[in-house]
Amino acid sequence: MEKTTIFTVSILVIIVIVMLFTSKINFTDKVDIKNKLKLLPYWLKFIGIATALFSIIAHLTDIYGENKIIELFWQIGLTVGLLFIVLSKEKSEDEMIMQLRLNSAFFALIIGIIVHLLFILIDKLLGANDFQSYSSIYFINFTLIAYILFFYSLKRKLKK
Amino acid sequence: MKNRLKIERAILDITQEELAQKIGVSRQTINSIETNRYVPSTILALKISRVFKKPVNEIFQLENDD
Repeated sequence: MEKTTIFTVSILVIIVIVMLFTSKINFTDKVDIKNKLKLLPYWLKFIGIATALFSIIAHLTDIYGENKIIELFWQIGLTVGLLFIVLSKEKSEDEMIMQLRLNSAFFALIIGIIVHLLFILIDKLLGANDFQSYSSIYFINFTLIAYILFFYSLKRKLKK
Repeated sequence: MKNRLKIERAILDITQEELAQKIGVSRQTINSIETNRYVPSTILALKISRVFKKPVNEIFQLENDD
């Protein structure tokens, strides 16, 4: 392994260990019991939508990734935009919305993992071995999009 | 679980929107409770019982398959 890989992995391991230890102290009684999350303000949703759409349009103008700046913006901008959409509040927050959020997050995680495993399988079957190129950022984007689709379709269903 | 929310609301003559404002949730939540698509938390059930001035048991009742 390269030195940078070892460095990144060890930082991630340290973060996970720190999160596990702090969760035993106070994470559980802040998140699990009260069933409330501190989310970003509502207006950030529009900035998120704008960022995500802009990065998609920028990517469509440069599909083969020749321009390195657009390529970077496509990868980071889409994820940041989707994260803003996911992490910002709804117009009216109540316990049913929290329940919807929980359900759709769970479904999105499972769907994300299944699709990711399928990608690994297809990659192995085809023997392409370019799994690295669509690993983490694609998994994140796919899971976030799946979450958004689940959440808003469930919410729309309840409005009827 | 069945509920008498719609009937109790009719007795007091308040809309879903008014009830929602009184207990601090959205109108969709009240609608989902009335149509048995969402089971409210104990806190929300107690708030509803406070609005109707009736015990929770009279508004929400268990069914045989619960």
